[in-house]
Amino acid sequence: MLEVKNLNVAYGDTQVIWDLNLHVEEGEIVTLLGPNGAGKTTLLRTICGLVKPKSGQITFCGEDLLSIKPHKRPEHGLIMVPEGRKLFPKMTVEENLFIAAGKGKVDSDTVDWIFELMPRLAERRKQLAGTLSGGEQQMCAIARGIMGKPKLLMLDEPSLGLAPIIVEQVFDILLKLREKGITIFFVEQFVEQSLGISQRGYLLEDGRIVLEEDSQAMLGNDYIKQVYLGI
Amino acid sequence: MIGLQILASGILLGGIYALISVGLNLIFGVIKVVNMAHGDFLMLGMYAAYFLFTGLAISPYVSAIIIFPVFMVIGYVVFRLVVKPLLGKAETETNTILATSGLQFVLQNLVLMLFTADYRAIQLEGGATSFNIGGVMLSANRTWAFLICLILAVALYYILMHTRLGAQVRAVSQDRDASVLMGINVDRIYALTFCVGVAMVGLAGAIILPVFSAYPTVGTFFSTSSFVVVVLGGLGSFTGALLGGLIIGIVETAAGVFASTELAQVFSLLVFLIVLFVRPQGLLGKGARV
Repeated sequence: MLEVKNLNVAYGDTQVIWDLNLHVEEGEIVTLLGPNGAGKTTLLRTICGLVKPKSGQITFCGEDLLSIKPHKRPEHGLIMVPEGRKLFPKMTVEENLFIAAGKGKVDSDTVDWIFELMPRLAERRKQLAGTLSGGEQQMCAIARGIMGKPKLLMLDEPSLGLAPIIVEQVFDILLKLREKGITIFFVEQFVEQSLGISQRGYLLEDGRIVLEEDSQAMLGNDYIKQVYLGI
Repeated sequence: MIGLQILASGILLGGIYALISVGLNLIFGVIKVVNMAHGDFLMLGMYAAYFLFTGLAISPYVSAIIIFPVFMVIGYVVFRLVVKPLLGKAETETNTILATSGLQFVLQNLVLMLFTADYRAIQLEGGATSFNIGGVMLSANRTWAFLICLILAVALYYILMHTRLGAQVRAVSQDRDASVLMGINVDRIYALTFCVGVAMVGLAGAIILPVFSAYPTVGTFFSTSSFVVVVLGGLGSFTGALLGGLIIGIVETAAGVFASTELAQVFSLLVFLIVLFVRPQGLLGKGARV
Protein backbone atom coordinates (compact mmCIF):
# COMPACT_ATOMS: atom_id res chain seq x y z
CA MET A 1 0.00 0.00 0.00
CA LEU A 2 2.73 2.41 1.04
CA GLU A 3 6.25 1.99 -0.22
CA VAL A 4 9.17 4.24 0.57
CA LYS A 5 12.32 3.69 -1.49
CA ASN A 6 15.81 5.11 -0.96
CA LEU A 7 14.47 8.16 0.81
CA ASN A 8 16.88 10.94 1.79
CA VAL A 9 15.65 13.97 3.69
CA ALA A 10 17.69 16.96 4.79
CA TYR A 11 17.04 20.27 6.48
CA GLY A 12 19.51 22.52 4.73
CA ASP A 13 22.87 20.79 5.07
CA THR A 14 21.77 18.53 7.89
CA GLN A 15 20.68 15.19 6.61
CA VAL A 16 18.04 13.59 8.81
CA ILE A 17 17.01 10.49 6.88
CA TRP A 18 19.45 8.28 5.01
CA ASP A 19 18.51 5.87 2.21
CA LEU A 20 15.42 4.74 3.97
CA ASN A 21 13.26 1.88 2.71
CA LEU A 22 10.03 0.70 4.22
CA HIS A 23 6.62 -0.58 3.25
CA VAL A 24 3.19 -0.93 4.80
CA GLU A 25 0.74 -3.50 3.44
CA GLU A 26 -3.02 -3.22 3.39
CA GLY A 27 -4.68 -4.28 6.64
CA GLU A 28 -1.53 -4.05 8.74
CA ILE A 29 -0.71 -2.12 11.83
CA VAL A 30 2.95 -1.14 11.63
CA THR A 31 4.90 0.54 14.40
CA LEU A 32 7.86 2.82 13.89
CA LEU A 33 10.08 2.90 16.95
CA GLY A 34 13.11 4.98 17.68
CA PRO A 35 14.63 7.41 20.14
CA ASN A 36 14.03 11.16 20.07
CA GLY A 37 15.73 12.84 17.15
CA ALA A 38 15.94 9.66 15.09
CA GLY A 39 13.86 11.20 12.31
CA LYS A 40 10.50 9.53 12.96
CA THR A 41 8.47 12.71 12.77
CA THR A 42 10.45 13.90 9.75
CA LEU A 43 9.66 10.64 7.99
CA LEU A 44 5.92 10.99 8.59
CA ARG A 45 5.98 14.67 7.64
CA THR A 46 7.76 13.75 4.42
CA ILE A 47 5.20 11.08 3.58
CA CYS A 48 2.30 13.48 4.06
CA GLY A 49 4.10 16.27 2.19
CA LEU A 50 4.95 18.84 4.87
CA VAL A 51 8.64 18.21 4.21
CA LYS A 52 10.14 17.76 0.75
CA PRO A 53 12.66 14.94 0.41
CA LYS A 54 16.07 15.39 -1.15
CA SER A 55 15.72 12.20 -3.14
CA GLY A 56 13.85 8.93 -3.18
CA GLN A 57 10.46 7.58 -4.10
CA ILE A 58 7.23 7.19 -2.23
CA THR A 59 4.36 5.25 -3.77
CA PHE A 60 0.92 4.96 -2.25
CA CYS A 61 -1.69 2.58 -3.68
CA GLY A 62 0.33 2.43 -6.89
CA GLU A 63 0.53 6.21 -7.31
CA ASP A 64 3.64 8.36 -7.18
CA LEU A 65 2.89 10.21 -3.94
CA LEU A 66 5.50 12.92 -4.43
CA SER A 67 3.69 14.17 -7.52
CA ILE A 68 0.49 14.67 -5.51
CA LYS A 69 0.21 18.02 -3.74
CA PRO A 70 0.26 17.73 0.07
CA HIS A 71 -3.29 18.97 0.55
CA LYS A 72 -4.55 16.51 -2.08
CA ARG A 73 -3.09 13.50 -0.30
CA PRO A 74 -5.97 13.09 2.18
CA GLU A 75 -8.35 12.71 -0.79
CA HIS A 76 -6.21 9.83 -2.00
CA GLY A 77 -6.70 8.12 1.34
CA LEU A 78 -3.51 9.09 3.14
CA ILE A 79 -4.12 10.99 6.35
CA MET A 80 -1.88 11.86 9.25
CA VAL A 81 -2.72 12.61 12.86
CA PRO A 82 0.20 14.88 13.74
CA GLU A 83 2.38 14.96 16.81
CA GLY A 84 0.86 17.04 19.59
CA ARG A 85 -2.69 16.64 18.08
CA LYS A 86 -2.62 20.04 16.34
CA LEU A 87 -6.36 20.53 16.66
CA PHE A 88 -7.88 23.85 15.71
CA PRO A 89 -8.17 25.10 19.30
CA LYS A 90 -10.74 27.83 18.73
CA MET A 91 -13.09 25.62 16.79
CA THR A 92 -15.59 23.27 18.34
CA VAL A 93 -15.08 19.51 18.31
CA GLU A 94 -17.74 19.28 15.63
CA GLU A 95 -16.11 21.97 13.49
CA ASN A 96 -12.77 20.20 13.79
CA LEU A 97 -14.38 17.03 12.49
CA PHE A 98 -16.47 18.61 9.76
CA ILE A 99 -13.60 20.58 8.28
CA ALA A 100 -11.69 17.34 7.76
CA ALA A 101 -14.50 15.70 5.81
CA GLY A 102 -13.30 14.92 2.31
CA LYS A 103 -14.53 17.38 -0.34
CA GLY A 104 -16.69 19.09 2.25
CA LYS A 105 -19.21 16.28 2.39
CA VAL A 106 -19.87 15.29 5.97
CA ASP A 107 -20.76 11.63 5.98
CA SER A 108 -23.25 11.04 8.81
CA ASP A 109 -22.43 7.32 9.04
CA THR A 110 -18.79 8.17 9.76
CA VAL A 111 -19.83 10.77 12.33
CA ASP A 112 -22.18 8.31 14.07
CA TRP A 113 -19.46 5.69 14.11
CA ILE A 114 -16.95 8.12 15.57
CA PHE A 115 -19.28 9.18 18.34
CA GLU A 116 -20.10 5.55 19.09
CA LEU A 117 -16.38 4.80 19.25
CA MET A 118 -15.63 7.87 21.38
CA PRO A 119 -18.73 8.78 23.39
CA ARG A 120 -16.83 11.49 25.26
CA LEU A 121 -16.49 13.45 22.04
CA ALA A 122 -20.22 13.23 21.42
CA GLU A 123 -20.82 14.83 24.81
CA ARG A 124 -18.37 17.60 23.98
CA ARG A 125 -19.25 18.21 20.36
CA LYS A 126 -20.09 21.88 20.94
CA GLN A 127 -17.05 22.54 23.14
CA LEU A 128 -13.94 24.33 21.84
CA ALA A 129 -11.22 21.81 21.06
CA GLY A 130 -8.66 23.87 22.98
CA THR A 131 -10.57 23.32 26.21
CA LEU A 132 -10.57 19.51 26.02
CA SER A 133 -8.36 17.36 28.24
CA GLY A 134 -5.26 15.79 26.71
CA GLY A 135 -6.93 12.43 26.20
CA GLU A 136 -10.03 13.97 24.68
CA GLN A 137 -7.85 16.05 22.38
CA GLN A 138 -6.08 12.95 21.15
CA MET A 139 -9.42 11.23 20.55
CA CYS A 140 -10.58 14.31 18.68
CA ALA A 141 -7.40 14.35 16.59
CA ILE A 142 -7.89 10.70 15.65
CA ALA A 143 -11.56 11.33 14.94
CA ARG A 144 -10.62 14.24 12.72
CA GLY A 145 -8.24 11.94 10.87
CA ILE A 146 -10.99 9.37 10.29
CA MET A 147 -13.42 11.96 8.91
CA GLY A 148 -11.49 12.06 5.64
CA LYS A 149 -12.01 8.28 5.24
CA PRO A 150 -8.37 7.24 5.15
CA LYS A 151 -7.10 4.02 3.65
CA LEU A 152 -3.89 4.54 5.57
CA LEU A 153 -3.89 6.47 8.81
CA MET A 154 -0.52 7.62 10.11
CA LEU A 155 -0.23 8.71 13.72
CA ASP A 156 2.73 10.50 15.25
CA GLU A 157 3.02 9.49 18.91
CA PRO A 158 -0.65 9.30 19.77
CA SER A 159 0.27 8.45 23.37
CA LEU A 160 2.32 11.60 23.91
CA GLY A 161 1.65 13.09 27.33
CA LEU A 162 -1.27 10.79 28.13
CA ALA A 163 -1.97 8.78 31.28
CA PRO A 164 -1.38 5.02 30.83
CA ILE A 165 -5.08 4.20 31.06
CA ILE A 166 -5.85 6.67 28.27
CA VAL A 167 -3.01 5.26 26.19
CA GLU A 168 -4.74 1.89 26.44
CA GLN A 169 -7.98 3.44 25.20
CA VAL A 170 -6.17 5.04 22.29
CA PHE A 171 -4.57 1.73 21.31
CA ASP A 172 -7.97 0.05 21.62
CA ILE A 173 -9.36 2.54 19.17
CA LEU A 174 -6.51 1.84 16.74
CA LEU A 175 -7.46 -1.85 16.82
CA LYS A 176 -11.07 -0.96 16.08
CA LEU A 177 -9.99 1.22 13.17
CA ARG A 178 -8.16 -1.72 11.71
CA GLU A 179 -11.28 -3.88 12.05
CA LYS A 180 -12.97 -1.23 9.91
CA GLY A 181 -10.34 -1.77 7.25
CA ILE A 182 -8.07 1.17 7.95
CA THR A 183 -4.38 0.40 7.67
CA ILE A 184 -2.27 1.99 10.39
CA PHE A 185 1.32 3.18 10.48
CA PHE A 186 2.31 4.88 13.69
CA VAL A 187 5.21 6.22 15.66
CA GLU A 188 5.46 5.27 19.31
CA GLN A 189 7.62 5.41 22.40
CA PHE A 190 5.57 2.82 24.32
CA VAL A 191 7.47 -0.09 22.82
CA GLU A 192 5.71 -3.02 24.45
CA GLN A 193 2.16 -1.82 23.99
CA SER A 194 2.59 -0.60 20.44
CA LEU A 195 4.29 -3.79 19.29
CA GLY A 196 1.50 -5.62 21.14
CA ILE A 197 -1.14 -4.31 18.76
CA SER A 198 0.92 -4.30 15.57
CA GLN A 199 2.04 -6.96 13.11
CA ARG A 200 5.40 -5.51 12.25
CA GLY A 201 7.80 -2.94 13.51
CA TYR A 202 10.67 -0.81 12.27
CA LEU A 203 13.39 0.62 14.42
CA LEU A 204 14.80 3.96 13.27
CA GLU A 205 18.07 5.25 14.68
CA ASP A 206 19.98 8.28 13.40
CA GLY A 207 17.88 8.42 10.28
CA ARG A 208 18.44 4.82 9.28
CA ILE A 209 16.25 1.74 9.62
CA VAL A 210 18.33 -0.58 11.78
CA LEU A 211 15.75 -3.30 12.39
CA GLU A 212 12.66 -4.57 10.61
CA GLU A 213 10.83 -7.53 12.07
CA ASP A 214 7.52 -9.07 13.09
CA SER A 215 6.31 -7.52 16.29
CA GLN A 216 6.72 -10.69 18.29
CA ALA A 217 10.26 -11.23 17.07
CA MET A 218 11.00 -7.62 17.81
CA LEU A 219 9.79 -7.94 21.37
CA GLY A 220 12.14 -10.89 21.77
CA ASN A 221 15.07 -9.09 20.18
CA ASP A 222 17.99 -8.68 22.59
CA TYR A 223 18.89 -5.21 21.40
CA ILE A 224 15.31 -3.97 21.75
CA LYS A 225 15.04 -5.61 25.16
CA GLN A 226 18.23 -3.99 26.38
CA VAL A 227 17.89 -0.52 24.97
CA TYR A 228 14.17 0.08 24.71
CA LEU A 229 12.55 -2.20 27.25
CA GLY A 230 15.28 -2.01 29.87
CA ILE A 231 15.16 -5.73 30.56
CA MET B 1 -25.93 64.88 26.91
CA ILE B 2 -22.39 65.69 25.85
CA GLY B 3 -21.38 62.21 27.00
CA LEU B 4 -24.04 60.65 24.82
CA GLN B 5 -22.99 62.79 21.87
CA ILE B 6 -19.35 61.78 22.29
CA LEU B 7 -20.34 58.14 22.52
CA ALA B 8 -22.47 58.34 19.39
CA SER B 9 -19.88 60.25 17.33
CA GLY B 10 -17.15 58.01 18.70
CA ILE B 11 -18.97 54.87 17.67
CA LEU B 12 -19.47 56.25 14.18
CA LEU B 13 -15.78 57.09 13.87
CA GLY B 14 -14.88 53.78 15.48
CA GLY B 15 -16.88 51.89 12.89
CA ILE B 16 -14.82 53.56 10.19
CA TYR B 17 -11.57 52.67 11.95
CA ALA B 18 -12.80 49.12 12.36
CA LEU B 19 -13.63 48.79 8.68
CA ILE B 20 -10.20 50.11 7.72
CA SER B 21 -8.42 47.79 10.14
CA VAL B 22 -10.32 44.55 9.56
CA GLY B 23 -8.44 43.70 6.38
CA LEU B 24 -5.07 44.31 8.03
CA ASN B 25 -5.93 42.00 10.88
CA LEU B 26 -7.43 39.35 8.64
CA ILE B 27 -4.25 39.22 6.57
CA PHE B 28 -2.06 39.14 9.65
CA GLY B 29 -4.22 36.52 11.38
CA VAL B 30 -4.29 34.12 8.47
CA ILE B 31 -1.05 34.66 6.53
CA LYS B 32 1.02 36.11 9.43
CA VAL B 33 2.09 38.91 7.15
CA VAL B 34 2.10 42.53 8.29
CA ASN B 35 0.96 44.48 5.27
CA MET B 36 2.73 47.81 5.66
CA ALA B 37 1.07 49.09 2.48
CA HIS B 38 -2.39 48.54 3.97
CA GLY B 39 -3.14 52.24 4.33
CA ASP B 40 -2.00 52.88 0.79
CA PHE B 41 -4.67 50.59 -0.58
CA LEU B 42 -7.08 52.78 1.37
CA MET B 43 -5.54 55.76 -0.38
CA LEU B 44 -5.94 54.08 -3.78
CA GLY B 45 -9.56 53.34 -2.93
CA MET B 46 -10.12 56.99 -2.06
CA TYR B 47 -8.58 58.16 -5.34
CA ALA B 48 -10.58 55.62 -7.33
CA ALA B 49 -13.79 56.80 -5.70
CA TYR B 50 -12.76 60.43 -6.18
CA PHE B 51 -12.24 60.08 -9.93
CA LEU B 52 -15.35 57.99 -10.35
CA PHE B 53 -17.27 60.76 -8.61
CA THR B 54 -15.74 63.75 -10.39
CA GLY B 55 -15.44 62.05 -13.77
CA LEU B 56 -18.55 59.93 -14.00
CA ALA B 57 -20.65 61.35 -11.16
CA ILE B 58 -20.82 57.97 -9.47
CA SER B 59 -21.53 58.22 -5.75
CA PRO B 60 -18.77 56.72 -3.60
CA TYR B 61 -21.34 54.42 -2.03
CA VAL B 62 -21.99 52.97 -5.47
CA SER B 63 -18.37 52.97 -6.55
CA ALA B 64 -17.55 50.98 -3.41
CA ILE B 65 -19.39 48.09 -5.05
CA ILE B 66 -17.22 48.43 -8.16
CA ILE B 67 -14.03 48.97 -6.19
CA PHE B 68 -14.39 45.77 -4.15
CA PRO B 69 -13.92 43.30 -7.03
CA VAL B 70 -11.36 45.51 -8.77
CA PHE B 71 -9.29 45.65 -5.59
CA MET B 72 -9.56 41.91 -5.19
CA VAL B 73 -7.78 41.65 -8.53
CA ILE B 74 -5.20 44.25 -7.44
CA GLY B 75 -4.78 42.31 -4.20
CA TYR B 76 -4.20 39.12 -6.13
CA VAL B 77 -1.54 40.70 -8.33
CA VAL B 78 0.24 42.15 -5.30
CA PHE B 79 -0.02 38.83 -3.48
CA ARG B 80 1.52 36.91 -6.37
CA LEU B 81 4.28 39.44 -7.10
CA VAL B 82 5.20 40.76 -3.67
CA VAL B 83 4.04 38.42 -0.91
CA LYS B 84 3.89 34.88 -2.25
CA PRO B 85 7.55 34.67 -3.31
CA LEU B 86 8.55 35.35 0.31
CA LEU B 87 6.24 32.88 2.03
CA GLY B 88 7.68 29.71 3.47
CA LYS B 89 11.24 31.00 3.17
CA ALA B 90 13.64 32.13 5.87
CA GLU B 91 12.80 35.39 7.67
CA THR B 92 9.36 35.59 6.10
CA GLU B 93 8.04 38.08 8.64
CA THR B 94 10.86 40.58 8.26
CA ASN B 95 11.03 40.23 4.50
CA THR B 96 7.31 40.74 3.97
CA ILE B 97 7.45 43.87 6.13
CA LEU B 98 10.31 45.19 3.99
CA ALA B 99 8.64 44.25 0.74
CA THR B 100 5.27 45.77 1.62
CA SER B 101 7.05 48.89 2.93
CA GLY B 102 8.70 49.16 -0.46
CA LEU B 103 5.31 48.80 -2.08
CA GLN B 104 4.10 51.64 0.13
CA PHE B 105 6.73 54.00 -1.29
CA VAL B 106 6.00 52.91 -4.84
CA LEU B 107 2.26 53.47 -4.48
CA GLN B 108 2.56 56.81 -2.69
CA ASN B 109 5.03 58.22 -5.18
CA LEU B 110 3.17 56.86 -8.14
CA VAL B 111 0.05 58.67 -7.00
CA LEU B 112 2.08 61.80 -6.21
CA MET B 113 3.53 61.75 -9.70
CA LEU B 114 0.20 61.16 -11.44
CA PHE B 115 -2.14 63.29 -9.36
CA THR B 116 0.14 65.77 -7.48
CA ALA B 117 0.04 66.30 -3.74
CA ASP B 118 -3.26 68.23 -3.81
CA TYR B 119 -5.90 67.41 -1.25
CA ARG B 120 -8.97 66.10 -2.99
CA ALA B 121 -12.34 66.18 -1.32
CA ILE B 122 -15.85 65.71 -2.59
CA GLN B 123 -19.10 67.23 -1.48
CA LEU B 124 -22.08 64.92 -1.48
CA GLU B 125 -25.55 66.35 -1.77
CA GLY B 126 -27.03 66.33 1.71
CA GLY B 127 -23.76 64.98 3.03
CA ALA B 128 -23.20 67.88 5.36
CA THR B 129 -26.58 67.39 7.03
CA SER B 130 -27.03 65.63 10.32
CA PHE B 131 -29.66 63.38 11.78
CA ASN B 132 -31.06 64.57 15.06
CA ILE B 133 -31.89 61.60 17.21
CA GLY B 134 -33.20 62.69 20.60
CA GLY B 135 -30.83 65.64 20.69
CA VAL B 136 -27.81 63.63 19.55
CA MET B 137 -26.52 64.85 16.21
CA LEU B 138 -25.23 62.26 13.78
CA SER B 139 -23.41 63.43 10.65
CA ALA B 140 -25.10 61.91 7.60
CA ASN B 141 -21.87 60.90 5.84
CA ARG B 142 -20.47 59.23 8.90
CA THR B 143 -23.73 57.47 9.62
CA TRP B 144 -23.83 55.96 6.13
CA ALA B 145 -20.21 54.94 6.46
CA PHE B 146 -20.94 53.35 9.82
CA LEU B 147 -23.98 51.44 8.55
CA ILE B 148 -21.98 50.04 5.65
CA CYS B 149 -19.24 48.98 8.08
CA LEU B 150 -21.85 47.29 10.21
CA ILE B 151 -23.32 45.37 7.29
CA LEU B 152 -19.87 44.28 6.13
CA ALA B 153 -18.82 43.26 9.62
CA VAL B 154 -21.93 41.12 10.07
CA ALA B 155 -21.50 39.59 6.62
CA LEU B 156 -17.84 38.80 7.21
CA TYR B 157 -18.58 37.37 10.64
CA TYR B 158 -21.29 35.17 9.17
CA ILE B 159 -18.97 33.92 6.42
CA LEU B 160 -16.18 33.19 8.89
CA MET B 161 -18.37 31.40 11.41
CA HIS B 162 -21.00 29.66 9.30
CA THR B 163 -19.58 28.69 5.94
CA ARG B 164 -17.15 26.00 4.98
CA LEU B 165 -14.86 28.56 3.38
CA GLY B 166 -14.90 30.62 6.57
CA ALA B 167 -14.09 27.56 8.63
CA GLN B 168 -11.15 26.87 6.34
CA VAL B 169 -9.91 30.43 6.80
CA ARG B 170 -10.15 30.04 10.59
CA ALA B 171 -8.41 26.67 10.43
CA VAL B 172 -5.49 28.06 8.44
CA SER B 173 -5.14 30.97 10.87
CA GLN B 174 -5.06 28.56 13.82
CA ASP B 175 -2.75 25.90 12.45
CA ARG B 176 -1.29 26.00 8.99
CA ASP B 177 0.27 22.54 8.97
CA ALA B 178 -2.79 20.82 10.38
CA SER B 179 -4.84 22.54 7.69
CA VAL B 180 -2.69 20.99 4.97
CA LEU B 181 -3.06 17.62 6.66
CA MET B 182 -6.83 18.01 6.61
CA GLY B 183 -6.79 18.65 2.88
CA ILE B 184 -7.21 22.42 2.90
CA ASN B 185 -5.57 24.23 0.00
CA VAL B 186 -3.62 26.69 2.12
CA ASP B 187 -2.19 28.63 -0.84
CA ARG B 188 -5.68 29.30 -2.09
CA ILE B 189 -6.86 30.47 1.33
CA TYR B 190 -3.81 32.76 1.59
CA ALA B 191 -4.48 34.32 -1.81
CA LEU B 192 -8.17 34.75 -1.09
CA THR B 193 -7.56 36.29 2.33
CA PHE B 194 -5.08 38.76 0.91
CA CYS B 195 -7.49 39.72 -1.88
CA VAL B 196 -10.39 40.20 0.52
CA GLY B 197 -8.22 42.14 2.98
CA VAL B 198 -7.11 44.54 0.25
CA ALA B 199 -10.62 44.77 -1.23
CA MET B 200 -12.10 45.60 2.19
CA VAL B 201 -9.71 48.49 2.70
CA GLY B 202 -10.14 49.69 -0.89
CA LEU B 203 -13.88 49.73 -0.31
CA ALA B 204 -13.32 51.55 2.96
CA GLY B 205 -11.42 54.20 1.00
CA ALA B 206 -14.52 54.88 -1.11
CA ILE B 207 -16.80 54.92 1.92
CA ILE B 208 -14.71 57.46 3.84
CA LEU B 209 -14.12 59.82 0.90
CA PRO B 210 -17.13 61.99 1.79
CA VAL B 211 -15.61 62.41 5.29
CA PHE B 212 -11.85 62.61 4.71
CA SER B 213 -9.82 64.18 1.88
CA ALA B 214 -7.57 62.11 -0.32
CA TYR B 215 -3.86 62.87 -0.74
CA PRO B 216 -0.91 60.63 -1.56
CA THR B 217 0.20 60.01 2.03
CA VAL B 218 -3.24 59.78 3.61
CA GLY B 219 -2.67 56.06 4.00
CA THR B 220 0.16 56.58 6.45
CA PHE B 221 -2.13 58.38 8.89
CA PHE B 222 -4.70 55.61 8.75
CA SER B 223 -2.04 52.91 8.82
CA THR B 224 -0.89 54.13 12.21
CA SER B 225 -4.46 54.12 13.48
CA SER B 226 -5.02 50.65 12.03
CA PHE B 227 -1.99 49.23 13.76
CA VAL B 228 -3.12 50.71 17.05
CA VAL B 229 -6.62 49.34 16.51
CA VAL B 230 -5.56 45.79 15.75
CA VAL B 231 -2.92 45.54 18.45
CA LEU B 232 -5.33 47.05 20.94
CA GLY B 233 -8.12 44.66 20.05
CA GLY B 234 -5.98 41.59 19.62
CA LEU B 235 -3.63 40.81 16.74
CA GLY B 236 -5.12 38.54 14.15
CA SER B 237 -8.60 38.66 15.63
CA PHE B 238 -11.52 39.89 13.54
CA THR B 239 -13.69 40.79 16.51
CA GLY B 240 -10.63 42.38 18.12
CA ALA B 241 -10.36 44.81 15.21
CA LEU B 242 -14.00 45.78 15.65
CA LEU B 243 -13.60 46.35 19.38
CA GLY B 244 -10.30 48.18 18.98
CA GLY B 245 -11.83 50.41 16.30
CA LEU B 246 -14.75 51.40 18.51
CA ILE B 247 -12.51 52.19 21.47
CA ILE B 248 -10.11 54.31 19.45
CA GLY B 249 -13.05 56.09 17.81
CA ILE B 250 -14.61 56.97 21.15
CA VAL B 251 -11.29 58.01 22.71
CA GLU B 252 -10.37 60.26 19.80
CA THR B 253 -13.81 61.85 19.74
CA ALA B 254 -13.70 62.51 23.47
CA ALA B 255 -10.19 63.93 23.19
CA GLY B 256 -11.35 66.14 20.34
CA VAL B 257 -14.10 67.57 22.51
CA PHE B 258 -12.23 67.98 25.79
CA ALA B 259 -8.76 68.79 24.45
CA SER B 260 -8.29 69.42 20.76
CA THR B 261 -8.63 67.41 17.57
CA GLU B 262 -4.90 67.80 16.93
CA LEU B 263 -4.24 65.99 20.19
CA ALA B 264 -6.76 63.24 19.53
CA GLN B 265 -4.15 60.75 18.37
CA VAL B 266 -2.02 61.46 21.42
CA PHE B 267 -4.86 60.29 23.61
CA SER B 268 -5.57 57.19 21.57
CA LEU B 269 -1.90 56.27 21.71
CA LEU B 270 -1.97 56.85 25.45
CA VAL B 271 -4.88 54.44 25.86
CA PHE B 272 -3.03 52.07 23.58
CA LEU B 273 0.06 52.18 25.80
CA ILE B 274 -1.96 51.60 28.94
CA VAL B 275 -3.70 48.59 27.41
CA LEU B 276 -0.35 47.21 26.27
CA PHE B 277 1.02 47.49 29.80
CA VAL B 278 -1.99 45.80 31.34
CA ARG B 279 -2.89 43.35 28.58
CA PRO B 280 0.01 42.96 26.14
CA GLN B 281 -1.93 40.36 24.12
CA GLY B 282 -4.58 42.99 23.30
CA LEU B 283 -8.06 43.23 24.76
CA LEU B 284 -9.37 40.04 23.21
CA GLY B 285 -5.97 38.47 22.74
CA LYS B 286 -6.20 34.78 22.08
CA GLY B 287 -9.64 34.51 23.62
CA ALA B 288 -11.68 35.44 20.58
CA ARG B 289 -12.82 32.73 18.20
CA VAL B 290 -12.35 34.87 15.11
